[in-house]
Amino acid sequence: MVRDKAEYISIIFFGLFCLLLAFKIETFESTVVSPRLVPVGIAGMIVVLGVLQFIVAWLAGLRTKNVKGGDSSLPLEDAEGSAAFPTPSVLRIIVIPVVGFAYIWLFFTTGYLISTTIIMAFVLFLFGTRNPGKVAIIAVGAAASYYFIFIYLIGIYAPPGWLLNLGLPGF
Amino acid sequence: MNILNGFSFLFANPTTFLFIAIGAFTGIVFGAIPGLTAAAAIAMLVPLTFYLNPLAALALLYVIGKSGRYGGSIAAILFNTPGTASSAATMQDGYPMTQQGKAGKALKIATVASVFGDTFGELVLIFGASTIAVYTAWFGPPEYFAIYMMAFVVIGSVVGKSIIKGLLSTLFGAIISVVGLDPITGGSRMTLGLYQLDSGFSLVPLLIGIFVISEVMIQYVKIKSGEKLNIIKMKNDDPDANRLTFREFKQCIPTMLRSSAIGSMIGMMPGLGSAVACFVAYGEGKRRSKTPEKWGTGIIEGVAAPEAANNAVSGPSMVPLLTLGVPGSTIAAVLIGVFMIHGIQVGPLIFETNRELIFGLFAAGLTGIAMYGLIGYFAGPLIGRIIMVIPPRLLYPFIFLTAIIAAYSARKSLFDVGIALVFGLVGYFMRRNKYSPAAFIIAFVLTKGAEEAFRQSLLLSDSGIGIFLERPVAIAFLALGLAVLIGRSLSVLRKNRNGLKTSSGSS
Repeated sequence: MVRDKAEYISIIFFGLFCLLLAFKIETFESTVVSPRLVPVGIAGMIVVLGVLQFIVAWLAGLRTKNVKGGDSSLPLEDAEGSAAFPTPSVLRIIVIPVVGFAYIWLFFTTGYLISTTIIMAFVLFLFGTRNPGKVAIIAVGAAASYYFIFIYLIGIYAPPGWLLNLGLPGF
Repeated sequence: MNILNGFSFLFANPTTFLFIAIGAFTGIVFGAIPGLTAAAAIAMLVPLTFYLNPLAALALLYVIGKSGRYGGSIAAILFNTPGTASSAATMQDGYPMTQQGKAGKALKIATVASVFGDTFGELVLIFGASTIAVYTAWFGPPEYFAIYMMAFVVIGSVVGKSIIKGLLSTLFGAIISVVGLDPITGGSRMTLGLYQLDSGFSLVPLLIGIFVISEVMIQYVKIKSGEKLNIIKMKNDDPDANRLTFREFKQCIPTMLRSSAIGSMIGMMPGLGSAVACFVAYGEGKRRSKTPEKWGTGIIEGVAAPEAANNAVSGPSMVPLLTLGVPGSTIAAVLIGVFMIHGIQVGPLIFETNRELIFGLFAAGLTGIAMYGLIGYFAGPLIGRIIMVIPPRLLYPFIFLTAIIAAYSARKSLFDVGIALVFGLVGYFMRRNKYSPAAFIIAFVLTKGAEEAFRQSLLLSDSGIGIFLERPVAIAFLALGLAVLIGRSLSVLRKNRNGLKTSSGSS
């Protein structure tokens, strides 16, 4: 119930934030349709539906939904994937994006090969591989393979790190 | 005759066959791994298609969509976990067959039914799309705006259990789409002062975030919670249990025909998709069966019905894309992006301007069906065994790494990687709170076109917004959208009322 209220209020605030940004869009008298019109319309509808959702839930006397397993007799959304959601801590939810941002920083600092090796080792550890030898071999092998396929063969440009530059071909 | 020209165009680009084979195999594998989907595979491979010619690029992604729908049946049958939402109904009879030691038979009938349904749907597309395009070619901006509005409302209101959440998912996609420079005035809109957002959000990092990064997060949470795949060893000692006889195939033909028709009709409606088709077909098959009590205990018709239906969606979901420029599914929405990257305008005129390419794509679709059918029939059990052996704690780090490099490679931008990570969080919360990632993506793709059509209509109009009420076709599409919204709302209200009556009756 608390989680649902937080969800609906977040949506309303998101809509209001978008509405604020939309009203800041510069308008020009010469245009028939203002560039502000569509963004304001969409943001306004988000706020309205967010409030409506809050009211509907309040009127229906919402109970906390803990979705485990799901009802297989009801249609699921296309491409949704998983139906069951255990309730995790905030740390478990944000750890993957945080590691991703760390990857971006390491990429700038040390280049693609080293950053990929380090992050791969860390993510393997996160997901439960504890054998240090196995982690090291997989991390180095994966980074080298990805470097070879994406940077060398396909030719995707990867800038050298500002701190460390291995001077490898393919840049 | 046009499809023969399509095949000759395909043969004129022989490397396309290699990409069709890669697509067939990749789709099966991604579909078979629980949690991953064809959409995830497509999201990661889209940047690589920038280096391919248009036919190879489109064929690769189109065939991944087809084989991914089939691949989900492998996980459903072997692990009692739907590899994709569209194979959830296959579990009802597929897994009991595995428990009876008939996993091989179940996989074979799933393969045959998928090929049957997909071929049926592809023929509907081939013969239907160009016919419909003749009528839609004369539509102008007011008609297109009405079609986009209908699509937003239909997709938002039919997807998922909550209409409000479906519509909100659509609006989230729309508001993200308007970020960037205004196409007419050049002024910046909602860019938060970031020059990287002047060209707006790119589709590829959004897709990767919403479908792939969010899935990695979900799997991480599941692994930490101690959830494991339910695996039964596949028995090989009874050869009849793992064979599909011609008599059994004949027995399933009426079911497959009916389910293919259901899937094709549902596939043409934007937003409904395979997940709806498989359950409708399963329910209808059970209802018409002489032995409905056997459905759910492990019978081959119970596998054939949903598999034929969910694959029959694939071809017809391209009909609204090619005739109206409105994608009928997430995969079709991604294909719009690929068309645009290669400079091809989607809509009814595509049959005039790029006839060879379109029929080449249809030919590639038929070839892809044959390829994934062969791979699935002979190697499906092997793929299942391999997936059993690879632990998720090894698999998902690789998927995470691939997602990062794919997000980067679209525009050689680490900013895009950051976007993918942020939308990974967004995707996680959307899926956890039952919002629709598919509606989000489709709305993101359509909004620019909708705004352009709206502004062009008002420029053409002497009566302002009244122009939409002066055009009969525009009124018809707007009315259709409204009718679907009202119908769905009444259906939800009725269901809620029945639910209340049942609970008060039982108490």
